[in-house]
Amino acid sequence: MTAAKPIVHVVDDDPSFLVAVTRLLRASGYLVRTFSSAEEFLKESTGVSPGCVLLDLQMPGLNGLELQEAIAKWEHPLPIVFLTGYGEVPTAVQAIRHGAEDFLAKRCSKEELFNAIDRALDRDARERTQRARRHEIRRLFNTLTPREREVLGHVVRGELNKQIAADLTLNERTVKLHRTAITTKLRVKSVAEVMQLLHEAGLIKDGQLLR
Amino acid sequence: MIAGLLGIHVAVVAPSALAANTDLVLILDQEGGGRPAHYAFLSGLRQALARNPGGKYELSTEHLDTDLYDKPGYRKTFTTQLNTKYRGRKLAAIIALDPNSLDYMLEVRPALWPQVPIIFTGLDEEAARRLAGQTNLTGVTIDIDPGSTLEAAIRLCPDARRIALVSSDQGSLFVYKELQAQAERFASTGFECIPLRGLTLAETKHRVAMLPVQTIVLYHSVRMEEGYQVLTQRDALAELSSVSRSPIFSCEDIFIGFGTVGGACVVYSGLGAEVAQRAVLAIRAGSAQSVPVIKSAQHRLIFDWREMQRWGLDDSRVPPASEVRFRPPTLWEEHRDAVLIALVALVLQTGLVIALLVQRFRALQTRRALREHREQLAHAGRISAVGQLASALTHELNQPLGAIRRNVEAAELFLQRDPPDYAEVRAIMADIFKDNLRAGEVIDRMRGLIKRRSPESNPLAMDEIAKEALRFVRAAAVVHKVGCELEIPSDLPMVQGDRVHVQQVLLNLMLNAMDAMKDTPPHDRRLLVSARLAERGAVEVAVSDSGPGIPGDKLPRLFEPFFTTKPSGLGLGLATSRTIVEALGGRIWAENRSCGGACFRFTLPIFRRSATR
Repeated sequence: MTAAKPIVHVVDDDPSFLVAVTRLLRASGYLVRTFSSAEEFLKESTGVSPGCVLLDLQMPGLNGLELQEAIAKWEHPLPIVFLTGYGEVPTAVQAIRHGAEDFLAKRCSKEELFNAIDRALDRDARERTQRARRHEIRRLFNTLTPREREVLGHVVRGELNKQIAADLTLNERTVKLHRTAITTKLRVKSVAEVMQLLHEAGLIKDGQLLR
Repeated sequence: MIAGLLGIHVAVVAPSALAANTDLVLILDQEGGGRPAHYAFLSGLRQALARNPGGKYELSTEHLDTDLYDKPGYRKTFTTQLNTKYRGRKLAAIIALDPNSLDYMLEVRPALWPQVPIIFTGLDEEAARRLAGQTNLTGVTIDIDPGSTLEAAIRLCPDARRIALVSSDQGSLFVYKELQAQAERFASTGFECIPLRGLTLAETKHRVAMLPVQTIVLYHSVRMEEGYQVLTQRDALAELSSVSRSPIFSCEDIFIGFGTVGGACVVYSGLGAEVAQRAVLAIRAGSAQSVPVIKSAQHRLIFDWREMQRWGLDDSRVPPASEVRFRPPTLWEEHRDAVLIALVALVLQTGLVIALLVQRFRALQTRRALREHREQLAHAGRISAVGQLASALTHELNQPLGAIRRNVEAAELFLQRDPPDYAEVRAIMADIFKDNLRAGEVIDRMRGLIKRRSPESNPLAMDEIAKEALRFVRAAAVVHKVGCELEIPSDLPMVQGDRVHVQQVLLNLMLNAMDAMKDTPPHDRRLLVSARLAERGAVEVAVSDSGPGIPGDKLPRLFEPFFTTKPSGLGLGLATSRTIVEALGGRIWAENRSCGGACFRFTLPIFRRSATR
């Protein structure tokens, strides 16, 4: 939820290409940070601020795919656009499968490059918003009392108040009170909205409430 | 009875014992012994008699000497002397060597030795025919042949215009007739004939010395005056020869070697043998009546090689069937066996040399073909290496090309600005230029490896070669996550070899090493290229990896062609490397490192100034 301008992180061991692509991106209005190796990038970046990574596939030390793996573990994994001198299909497939935004040749056109970067930045912004919302939902969710969470678990399964009351040896009225508390805490009006929130935050899996 | 006589006489006098057992042959001549012709004749006669089986002969020589001492009463005294001398001896035959001696013998024989056969010689056929009425007489006629001699002389001296005939007026008459006849014959064919007849040696010498060149001198004899009697005709010839400006020819073999070129010669020793044969026949028959007179076959064309050399006569012009004396024997004649052996040896040696040359030529051809094949193989190997490096090289090319593109795109933007940012564009241009060079270098490097070429032999710095090889594989090393290290002392001596070939070997080994480490954890993949000074004037280069090493059973076969441990390999990389290294005079081998991984080592000879070609 930060308003900072997204940064394009360029990681390439080839200084000449690094300078050239940075020059182009900056001239085109991008904010750019450069790194001459995956290690350097990992040391200095955390993914807190929005942006994307323009990543050379072949580098000594950690290569592009390995850096991709490391970034994937971040809380805010930056979208990656791979650049390669010589694209091999299996490598590209692996990169995409692991969530790369794009896989471009170093000699691609400016437009292809910008499109890919823009898409990556959009995606980052989108994902950041999503992550922020999910975070908010979870924060609200965490305000629920254990009993409320228990009741919610049954609600999620689609049980009626009567059934819930029976299962939890509560009276039906108490169950109702819990439900109202839940909707209030989660700042929604209906159970349907609660379900949507839970889904959004990834708190429901296979019709079961997680946690 | 013979035995009894022997018994008595042997005890008393030996000659009588001889006489009883041998046939006494009396030889009479005019001028006396010691003359060369006489001596040659007698020696031929003696030898022929000695060789004759079944007979024993005793020779006795007498000299009539009427030429010089024909005083009144001398003949009678001489006859008495002979009678006294040979009284009691039975003569088996009488040999008369000249017309005078024959005349004398025919005169005294009826009184002294009526039954004894006479064998004559020294007469020509015509003179012999006049003796037809005589009985118990046989002989050998001779034929002094100035005609053939002159023909041979003219043949040898084609430029000759004059013929000088040197003869005395003593001795056998027929000789002078013959000389006269020949003089007339050649005068009629355009030769100027100069008769030097009846002159003393001194006079003859003077005349001969004055003869113009292009003259042929035919020597028979000179008139022997008082005071010169100690000399023979042969000695006279030698005197003439010393002053003559023209070649001298003659008709008697005894003159050969004393200043005559030669000619159709009477051979006196042969004549002696012929006469001996007549005598033996007559003695056996007890009479010469049934023994026919023969004509001597003993005259031959004989020439003196040294005299021909002296007068510059071409010895190839001697008439056919001539005998050339004193020609230094050719090597062949003198040392036939040695020459034969030497010739055989020479032929064998030549054959051997030719065979060796042919073999060498073939070997050279084979070596050339081998070298070509080797280079073709090496070339194929390099192309294969470039193939293996293709993706890495593409990457290396795309890097600068990508940078150039980005720079161009950026430059457009900077130029579109208002005002355009020329400073930035200039920086961009400089960068583009740099990247262009870089791409060019990559292509040049690749081309250097792919290009067909004939190997050279140059001094090479191993560390530079290794660095360059490393540049080739750097991109591939990045892809394969192999850490490459170089450990080459900069003070290592230069090696001798072909730059591209050595690089190719290194590339092969490095690519193999990278391949070998495919299954090694990435952080353990290490490739080390090192070099050190080895013994015996060589540098040893090692390419080590940290892979699994080479299975022991495969170590010995690694360098065989088509032996491969890789599913996609051709098995030519190491074989080619070995071929290259061995052609450069080094060797290559593989071993497993004690710390794990394989190590390929090869040696190259240290560069020596003298080794440059």
